[in-house]
Amino acid sequence: MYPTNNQSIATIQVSIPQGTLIPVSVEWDGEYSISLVCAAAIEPAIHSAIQYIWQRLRESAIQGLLDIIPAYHTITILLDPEKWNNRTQATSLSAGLVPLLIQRLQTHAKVVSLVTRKISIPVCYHIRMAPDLEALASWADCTPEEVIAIHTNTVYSVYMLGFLPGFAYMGKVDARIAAPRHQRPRKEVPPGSVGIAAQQTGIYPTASPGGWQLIGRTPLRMWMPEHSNPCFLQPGDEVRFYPISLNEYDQLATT
Amino acid sequence: MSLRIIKKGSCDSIRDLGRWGYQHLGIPPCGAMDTFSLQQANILVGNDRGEACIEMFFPAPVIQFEADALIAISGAQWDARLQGIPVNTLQPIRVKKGAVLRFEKPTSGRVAYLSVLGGFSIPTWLGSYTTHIGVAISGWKGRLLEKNDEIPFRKTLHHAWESTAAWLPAPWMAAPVKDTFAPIRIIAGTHFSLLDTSAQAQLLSSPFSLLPESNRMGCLLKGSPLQGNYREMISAAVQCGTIQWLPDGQLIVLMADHPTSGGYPRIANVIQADVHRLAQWPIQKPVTFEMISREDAIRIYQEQHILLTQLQNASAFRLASYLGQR
Repeated sequence: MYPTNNQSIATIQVSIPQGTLIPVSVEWDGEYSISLVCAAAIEPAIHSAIQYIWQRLRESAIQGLLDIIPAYHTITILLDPEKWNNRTQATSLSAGLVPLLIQRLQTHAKVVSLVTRKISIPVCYHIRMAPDLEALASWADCTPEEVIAIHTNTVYSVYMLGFLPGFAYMGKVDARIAAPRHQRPRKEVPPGSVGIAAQQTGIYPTASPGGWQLIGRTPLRMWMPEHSNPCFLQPGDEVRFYPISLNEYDQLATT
Repeated sequence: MSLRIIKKGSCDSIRDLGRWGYQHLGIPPCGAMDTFSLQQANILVGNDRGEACIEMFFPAPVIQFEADALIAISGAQWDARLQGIPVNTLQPIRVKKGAVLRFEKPTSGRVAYLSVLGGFSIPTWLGSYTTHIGVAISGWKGRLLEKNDEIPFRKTLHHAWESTAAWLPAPWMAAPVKDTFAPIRIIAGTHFSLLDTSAQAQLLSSPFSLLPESNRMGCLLKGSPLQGNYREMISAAVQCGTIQWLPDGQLIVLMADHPTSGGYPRIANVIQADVHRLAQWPIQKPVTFEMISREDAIRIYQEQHILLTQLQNASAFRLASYLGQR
């Protein structure tokens, strides 16, 4: 009845280190964007496949891509309309770009060289820095110390950045402390605040309104606009938190 | 060698075609609302199409030129006046030091652009001049323009001023592209099929009101709530023109200052060639949608692109002899 635009163009099989094959569907999105889509889930296996493809695309040096944006189970590729204008076969989306994309990603790809930065982030869980820690502990039916132990004992992956420049969505948070976000967001959350929203954890890079459960604060700057890479965290990073005292926080914050 | 804001407008900022390549870090493009008009304004004064311009909403600013300049105004029609005398949009105008530009009343359109030959002398951040209001960076001091801001030009306009007039229009102008307010064209989005059949038909036949709260972030639409298999999605990238279906059944069309990702169902996309039409759409006028194919959307974009190229060719030729003979 209506022009169909979202037909799948191709399916790529990505073999992740655990041995599973992850199907990734290549689909039209807008008229100048293409999505690579895995099964809709927030899962480490899907994240590996997405990361693998994202890294391949970034090093593929295909001209005329404005942005390559990874998310939990998708990668969205924004195309430069000046370059992909359908005037010749080489500049055609379907005859030029799509075969090139498929070729670069291969139809059967094996994740062998996933580059992952491993990052440790100090967090002060002192009650002054953690307005929601006690309430979250009683929600979880445990002590604040147990919440801290659980939060620091997990290695998190940065699934994507969004919401604010430099805001990294990390997962998965242990189900025992995966409290839902506040019904009403706070008007202002200070930068560096570490929060939980169900199975995601994140750090507010700049002061902003926010609804996440605040359980601590890092003295590290997540947002450094004066740097050529302005964000401390990037998609695909592996992050571990470690606890520091209020004194250590103050020392690190001033250096 | 600058212009000065002598009265601030409601939302004036430095814009270009956007900051691309950083959306994986959550940094959105934040370009001009009407990139077509921005490019026209630049072409008319001989700039690169993506040079920085001043983007204005009504009430607009009052601007004084502190040096001679070649300028062009594009986009909305707000009864622009230099020294109290009406001037055309889409026409290169030489202004003399001291001339004052005002906009008297909003006749049509919602956003206007002012270009100056050579552009503004301001630093880029991550490859773009455009202002990121959210993190207060780039553009002019990371913020909207205020009274007494003095925005420097990059180039001096050298010419003999043979007249006593405070300003002189060039003897040519671009043909305005008048919007007939035909339906805004869309292509189906990833989650279009979540809408009930009746809601799909409603999207493509019923008028929607454009709410006055609409801003650079998005155009808020109001109609009877769209029914269907509503659920929130796992967050994924969104872009300018993405139509999101909100929990109350209403729609938002994401515009230039959209966040990089979102979790509402993405039922359709306004075609890239029509995003600027929506940016200029009158608040009181109902919006209707027409669904077209992806191929047609590309064709329409390319036609617009050719219009700009033709303007650029014609303009470059005339400008060279116009400025050269002085």
